[in-house]
Amino acid sequence: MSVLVVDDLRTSLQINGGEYHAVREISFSIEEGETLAVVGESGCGKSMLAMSIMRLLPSVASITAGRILLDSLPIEAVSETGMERVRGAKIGMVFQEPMTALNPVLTVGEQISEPLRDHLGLSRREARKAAIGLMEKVRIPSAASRYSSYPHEFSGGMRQRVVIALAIACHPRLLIADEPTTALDVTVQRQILDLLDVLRTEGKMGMLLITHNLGIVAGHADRVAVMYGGDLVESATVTDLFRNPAHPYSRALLASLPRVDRDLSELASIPGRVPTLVNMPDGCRFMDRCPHAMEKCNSMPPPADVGDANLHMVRCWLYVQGGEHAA
Amino acid sequence: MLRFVGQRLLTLIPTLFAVLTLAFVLVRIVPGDPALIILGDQATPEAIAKFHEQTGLSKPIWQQYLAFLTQLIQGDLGVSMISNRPVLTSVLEVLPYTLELSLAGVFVGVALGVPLGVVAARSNGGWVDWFVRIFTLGGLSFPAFVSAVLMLLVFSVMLGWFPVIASGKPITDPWGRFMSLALPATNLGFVMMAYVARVTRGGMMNVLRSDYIRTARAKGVPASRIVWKHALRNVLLAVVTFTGLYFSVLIGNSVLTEIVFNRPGLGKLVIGALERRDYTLLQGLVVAYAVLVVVVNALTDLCYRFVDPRVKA
Repeated sequence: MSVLVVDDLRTSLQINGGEYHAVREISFSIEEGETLAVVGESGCGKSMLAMSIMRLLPSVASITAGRILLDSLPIEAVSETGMERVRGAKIGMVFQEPMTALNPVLTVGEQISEPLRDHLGLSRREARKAAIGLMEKVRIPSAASRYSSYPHEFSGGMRQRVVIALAIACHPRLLIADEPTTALDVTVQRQILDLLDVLRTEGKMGMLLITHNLGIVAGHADRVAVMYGGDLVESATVTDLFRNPAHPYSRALLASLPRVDRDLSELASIPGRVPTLVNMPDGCRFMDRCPHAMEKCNSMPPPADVGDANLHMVRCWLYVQGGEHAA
Repeated sequence: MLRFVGQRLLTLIPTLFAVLTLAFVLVRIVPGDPALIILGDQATPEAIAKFHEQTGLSKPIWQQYLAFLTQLIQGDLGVSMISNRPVLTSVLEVLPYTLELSLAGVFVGVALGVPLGVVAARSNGGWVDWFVRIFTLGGLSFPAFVSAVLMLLVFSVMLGWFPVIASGKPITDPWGRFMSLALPATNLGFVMMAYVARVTRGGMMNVLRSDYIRTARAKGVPASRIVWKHALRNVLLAVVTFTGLYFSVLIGNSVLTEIVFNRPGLGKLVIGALERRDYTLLQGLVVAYAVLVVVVNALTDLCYRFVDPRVKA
């Protein structure tokens, strides 16, 4: 059964009276124990997507269409107070910046205990015991004695472990990790990602892993969704995407990866940059940077349902019947 | 902890020393010879010389300073030049009233200011926010002596809820003492409330945007607890800082409040001593105020230890 089904999701921003689509017609699903990596450049709507699922959008943004089913529960229809019982209980979230993600004036233990008491109804003493157990589980050394420590007494990697502990405290069905290792040392990155893998398998959680690091995708994800300018342009299994990238953007992304078996001088970069939401083209959003752009790309966005969403989906006119097929 | 308190107390000594020296100098810079004021314009030069001799004013200034310090170390603030009463006795007699008034003023300022600021931040841009902003603007721009007279007029004279002469009631009459304190304390704390509300509102807006508040929301903490626990604990740092700094201003304002409400206190003593050029009394009063401010600052530092775990030693 799918832990998360996102169907035709649209999230818009209201800026100076105009409406801009930060997430446009996105559909995907995540199965129990599966990791879906969402990749793309900065500003392509990855975090907006995560915040839509959490229903923690900034006040200028709102979900305008589509469905988000978490274990069959339609998230987009839950009330704001209802979401307080979903967040932390059924969805856990790990953030990019561990240095600022914890409250500086509350003890680490207190911050981990809080969701346990809120969602599982544990007493103070039970929550303390469970929190220490969680701290051990995320491999914080001498957990019991560090229960009463404050975040500033922890290193970045240790703080991220604390954030992970409180995210998984109530055995959520879905764990959203928004660039969980971007701010960490390379050696610590590996440990954190391995830890997330173990916890996901043990807890049978689905994981939405947001990253712009294709190396992480290759090592830790089952499937990949490539986002560009708020669109999901391609989704496939990791092996499939790395072997046969279809969308010109995916191909360009992979071509920009350094590889041991190739000369570094071949390293490609993608010309230009992601257009801002205000300057987004009406048709295909990648058009301006695409080597295969056609007449059609300018007039209309490519349909979102090309290919099987669960196998290999690509959103590009090149693959639409009657479109010119570029090899 | 004890070590921290000890260290903090040690640092008080040089501060106090500097302030005391300043007090000594300031009082002697004030123009006007006390002898002339006490003995009158018609005093003979002999009488004036005799007065100077008796009060020690004829000695070189450094001898006066040394005498002042030696006395001080022995806990002696000298005797009033006018009434011949020991200064320390006069100060200690009214100190409780001033302390009581200042602390009650701070209490009013914080107890009303913090919730107002929080409520305003939560309604950010809504009508509650507008109300608080206009209300606090009033608090900031209305002179305290005007509001004091208005309050007396409305609540004491017209409504008769509070005594008009809020003079000190003995401790054995707690209700009477409370009633006589209520209006002056509210008046004194009103301006502070306005500041505190604004400090709280600004701090709250910043903190509510921070990453750790997002984390708290992501783990499903109810909105009210996010504001009153997770965010407010961080905003209190700014409030403590502000309260510590504002305390000296508040003590200054208490002089006015004491006069308008006719309360005993250091303020009334100061005005009297100034009028009569009572050097020794004035000197003692400056010392008392200085000690008060320095002690409050030390207490503020101590408060940080409780409010912010990142503060060490």
